[in-house]
Amino acid sequence: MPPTKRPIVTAATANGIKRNRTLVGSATTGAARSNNGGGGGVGVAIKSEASSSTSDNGELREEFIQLLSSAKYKGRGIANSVLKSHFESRYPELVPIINELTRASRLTMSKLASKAGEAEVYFSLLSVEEATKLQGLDAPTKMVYQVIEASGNKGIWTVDVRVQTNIQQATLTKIFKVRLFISFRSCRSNLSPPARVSSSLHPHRQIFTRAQKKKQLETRRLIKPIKSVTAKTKKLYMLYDLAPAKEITGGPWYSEYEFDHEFIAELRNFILMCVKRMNGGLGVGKGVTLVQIANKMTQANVSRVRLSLDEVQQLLQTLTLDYLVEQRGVTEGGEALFVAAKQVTTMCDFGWWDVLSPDFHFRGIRFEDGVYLSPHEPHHHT
Amino acid sequence: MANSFGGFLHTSPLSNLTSSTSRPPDPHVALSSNCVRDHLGPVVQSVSDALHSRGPSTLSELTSTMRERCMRDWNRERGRLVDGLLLLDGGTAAGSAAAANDNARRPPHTTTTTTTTAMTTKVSMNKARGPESAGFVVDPSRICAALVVLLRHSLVDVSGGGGGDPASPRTRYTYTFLPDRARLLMRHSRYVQHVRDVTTDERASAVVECLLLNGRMTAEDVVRGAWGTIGRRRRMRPRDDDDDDGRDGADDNNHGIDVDTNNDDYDNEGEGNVDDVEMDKALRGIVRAFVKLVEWGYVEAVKPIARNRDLDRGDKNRNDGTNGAGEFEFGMDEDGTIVVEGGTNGGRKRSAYDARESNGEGDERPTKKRAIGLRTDDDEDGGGGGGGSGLEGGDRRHHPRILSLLSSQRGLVPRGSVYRANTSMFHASLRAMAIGRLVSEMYPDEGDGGGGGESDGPRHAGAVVRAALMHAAREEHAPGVEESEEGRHGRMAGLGTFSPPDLVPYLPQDVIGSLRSQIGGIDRNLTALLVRMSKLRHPPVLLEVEEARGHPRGGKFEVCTRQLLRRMRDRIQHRVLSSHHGVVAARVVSVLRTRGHCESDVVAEDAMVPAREAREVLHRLHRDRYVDLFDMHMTKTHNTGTAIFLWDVIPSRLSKTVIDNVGTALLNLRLRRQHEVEVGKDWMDRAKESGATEENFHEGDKRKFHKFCMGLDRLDRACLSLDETLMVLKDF
Repeated sequence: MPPTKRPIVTAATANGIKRNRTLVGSATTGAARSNNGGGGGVGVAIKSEASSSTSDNGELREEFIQLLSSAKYKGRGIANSVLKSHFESRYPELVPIINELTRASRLTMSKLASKAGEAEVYFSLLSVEEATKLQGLDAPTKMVYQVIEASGNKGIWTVDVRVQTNIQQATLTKIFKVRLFISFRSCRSNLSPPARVSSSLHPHRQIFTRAQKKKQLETRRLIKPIKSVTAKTKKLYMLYDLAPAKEITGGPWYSEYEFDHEFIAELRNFILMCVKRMNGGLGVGKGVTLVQIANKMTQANVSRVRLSLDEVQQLLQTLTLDYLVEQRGVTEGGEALFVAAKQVTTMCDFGWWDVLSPDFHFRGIRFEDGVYLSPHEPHHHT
Repeated sequence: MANSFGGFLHTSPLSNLTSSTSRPPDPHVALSSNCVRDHLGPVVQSVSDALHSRGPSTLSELTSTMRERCMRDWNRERGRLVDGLLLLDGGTAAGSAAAANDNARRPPHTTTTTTTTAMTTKVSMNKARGPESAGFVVDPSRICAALVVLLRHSLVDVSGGGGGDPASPRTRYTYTFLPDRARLLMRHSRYVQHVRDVTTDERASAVVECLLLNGRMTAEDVVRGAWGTIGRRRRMRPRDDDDDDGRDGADDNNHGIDVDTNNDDYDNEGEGNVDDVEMDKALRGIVRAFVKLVEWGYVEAVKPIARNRDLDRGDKNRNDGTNGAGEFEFGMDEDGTIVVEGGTNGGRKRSAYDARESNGEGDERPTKKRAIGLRTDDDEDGGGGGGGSGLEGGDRRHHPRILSLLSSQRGLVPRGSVYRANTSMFHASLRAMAIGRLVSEMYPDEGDGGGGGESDGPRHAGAVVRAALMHAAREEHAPGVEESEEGRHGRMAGLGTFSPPDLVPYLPQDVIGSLRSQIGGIDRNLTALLVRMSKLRHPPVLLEVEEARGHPRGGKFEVCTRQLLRRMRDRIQHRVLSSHHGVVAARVVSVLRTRGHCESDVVAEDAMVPAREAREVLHRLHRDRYVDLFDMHMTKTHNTGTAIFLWDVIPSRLSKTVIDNVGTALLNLRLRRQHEVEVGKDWMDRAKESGATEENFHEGDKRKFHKFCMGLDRLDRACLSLDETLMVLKDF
C-alpha cells in the first residue's frame, strides 16, 4: 500500500489556531514584567494572577494530554475541530501548550482529510521515548521523519520523499545522512565564540554531537535505508524499529536480495516426495492435507526459516500449476486432499518449436536420435 | 518476389501466402491448400484456392477469377489465326506443324496444345501464364473437372438451385470450399489404421482406404475396389507376414467391440490367380466388412452426384434422397459459356458430346472424371466399372457375384446408393479411445496403481467410459435401417445418455468376465460401478442423470465429455507452452488463468519466480499472443509512467494461438518433407534402381540414402504427432 501523502504542518499557527496575543501574550508580558522588577503590591497581585493562570494552564495541559492519550485518538490523532468543540472558550489557551509540546517533540501535527472530505489539522501525541528521539530535530527533518513514518513497513523511495516534502535533494541528503566534514564546517560557522573556544578543546566531539542532534536521522537510528527485491537500485527509507514488509524483502524466498532458486527447488522436491510417500500411509491413499505437509516439513527441518502455512501453500500451488500435484477430494473438515498427479498421455509429443521460425526450411535438422537432415540452400533469384 | 525455395513450388497462383516462406495469415487454410495439392494435384489446389479466396461462387464466377489470375497477355490477332486453323481442311497437318514450330521456339509453359476429336483437329493456344503443374489453368473444362473432384471428395458444399429443374440453364448453383474438410485429407492413414484397430479386420480397412481414396462410391464399386486394394497389399507384402494378416491381437485388442474374427479367407484374397471359390469367399468377407462399417456408422450414405445422362432420362428416383438431387455436373463450351450438359430443354446450349450422344456415340463419351485421371484400383487392374470411373449410382455392369452378395443386403444398402467415409464417426470413435485412455490413466485399476501406490480409482473406469462414448457415437452416426421420425427425435433427445445394459456390447471381454464373475451378475455390478464412478469429482467422469436405485434399466448416466476434454486440452496447452517457452511460462499462464487480471508482481509471487523473470516471460508470451496486456491509463495524456499494466489470459485466444501454432508447425513440416522429397527425387530413383543396374550400386550412396530416409521418417512421425494434437484441439 503506498504511503499516504500527509502535508506536514510546521507550526501550530499555520492552520486553525491563531494565537490570541491580547490575552495570553499580555499575561505573559505582565508576568515577565513582574519578574523583571516592579511594584510590590501590584507585583504580588500580578504574581498571584500569574500563578493561578499557571495552575490553570497545568490543568489544561493535563486535560489536553489525557485527551490525546485516549485510545480514541491514538492513531490518527485529534482533529482541530474536535479540540475546538471540546475546549470551547479555553481553546485559545491551548496555544502555548501546543507550542511547548511541539518544542519538546511530544506533539506532531499533520494535515489530513476529515470525514467531511476537507483538509484538517490533526494533533497526535508522541510518547516520551519517541519525543526524546526526535528532540533537537529541526522542522524539515521532522517533516522528513513523518513522511517516512507514514510509509510504514514498506518504506519510501527518496524521490518520493523529495516530492512530498518539497525539500531540495542536497538538503534531503544532509537530513538523511550528513557527512562529517560538512557537519564540521557548518557547525563551526554557527557556533558562538565561547563555544568555539570550548570546541577547540574537543572539536570533533562537540561538532559531531551537534550534527547528530540536528540532522542525521540515519546516524541517530531513527530511520534506516533498505532495498527492495523488486527494484534493487532504488533506495528506500523506513523507520529504524520497523521490520520491512514481505513485499520489500521478498520473504523467505530471497536471500541477500537474490531469488533463491535452489532453496525453492529443494522445498518443492520435498513436498512432492511428501505427497507421494505420505499418501500411502495417511488416509489410505486418499491424499495429504496442507497441514500434514507443513508439519512434515517442520519435523524434517528442511528450512532454516520457519515457513508459514501460507508459504507452504504457495509452494504447493506451484506444484499444482505444473500438473505435478492435483487435488483429489476434501476431508470431512473441508481441507483439500492432494495426491501426486497421474502421468497422462497428453497426445502432444512434439516439442520442437523451431519449426515456427521463418528460416526453418533452410536449417539443418538434428533429431533426438542423431538423425540429421542437411539444410537447403536458399535461392534468391526472382 | 524472390522465391527462396528455388524450384520448389507449393502454392497456387491464387494462394493466400504472399511469399514462399512467409508465415501464413491463417495456417489452417494454408494447410488445407497444401493437403489438396498433395492429394489431388496443383490444378485442384488452384480451384480450391480460388473458391476460398472468392467465397461462395458460381461456376462462371469461379472461371472468370481463375482466368483473371492465371491467363497471360496474348496477341489477339494471333489467337484469331490459331482459332482459324480449326476451320481449314487438312487442318491436322497444318495445325500440328504450327504447334510444333511454336513449341520449339517458346518456353514449355506456353506451348500450343493440339486437341484431336473424332470430327477434326482443333488447335488451341495455351493462354495460361504458367504450366499446369504450377496450378495455372484457364481451360474451363479443366476447372470444371477440378470442381467435380472437389465435389466427389466432399470438399465443396453446393447450395442454391432453388428446387427448380436442375437441368435448366437458369438454375444457378453456388459452391463453397470447406477448408476444414480438406485438412482431413492428411488424416486418411489414421482413419484406415483406426478401423483396423477397431474391427481387427483387414478387409474393413481396405474398404475405408478405397472410399477415402475415391471420395464417394457405390457399394458395388467399394467391394470391387477393396478387393483390388487387398490384392495389392498382398502383393506388396513379404510372404512371411501373410499368416499374420488381420489377426494381430484379435482377441485382446478389439476395444470392446464384438467383431467377426473369421478371417480364414485372407490368404486367398486379391486379384491374382484365384479360383471361383476363393474369390467368392473373399468377396463375401468384403461385403460383410462393408455392411458392418455401414451399420457401425464408419461409412455413410450420401447423395450421389447426378450424371448428365440421368438428368436427360428424367430419372424418377433422382429426388428420392439417394440419387443426388442438387448435385450434378456442368459443362462449358469452347467460348467459356457455361451450360448444363446433357439437358434437353429448348434454348439451352448443348455440348458436342451431347450431340454425338444423340447420334448413338454416347458410350464413347469421356466423362470429366475420367479426364482428370482419378486413381483407382480398377484402372490398374483393368477391370471395368470401378469407382474411379465416376459412375455413381449408375448402371455399369458389375461382377455378378458382387451384385448377388449385395442383393441380400438391399435393406441396408439400396441399389445405386453412394457411400463415403464418415469422418465425424471416425472422430467420435477416436475421441472415445482418447478419453477412455485418459480416464484409465487418471483412475487406474486397483491392481496397477500409480507410482504412489494409490488405488483410489474404480476398476475398469477407462473401459466403461470408452464403451459409453462408443455407444453414443453409434447412436449418433449409425441409425437403424428403418427409423420413424418419432424414433429419430427420441434418439436425438437421449443422445449421450445410456443405461448399463447399453454398454455391454461395447465392453471388452475381460471386463465383462470380471463383472459377471462377481456376486450379483453383470447388470448389478455394472450399475454399482457406474454409480461409484459418478461419485468421482476430481475430475468428474460420469453424471447420474436418473437415479439407479429403483430404475428399471439400472439408472441413466452421461459421460462428462466436456470436462474431460477440457482437462485433456489444458494438459496439451500446458505441454505446448512448457516445451515452447519453458516451465515457468506454462506456470505463469496457469496463474493468469486462475487469477484473471494481474500485475506482473502478483504473477511473479504466485509463480514463485523473480519479478524480472516474470516480466520477461510475460512479454515473451505477449509477443507470441499467448497472454494479453491491458494497460489502464490514469491520466488523460496516457502517461505510461502512471499507467497500470494488467496481464490476462483469454482462454479462447490462448486456445486459438496454440491451435494456430500447431497448424503452422504442421504446415512447415509438411513443406519441408515435400521439399526434401523433391530435392532428393533423383537420389531416390537411383536408390530404387540400385538392384537393377550395376552403376547405381554404391555403399556410400546406400548409406546416405538410408540416412535421408530416416530423416523423412522422423519428419513423418513429427507430422503424425502434430496432427494428433490438432485433432484433439480442433476436431474432437
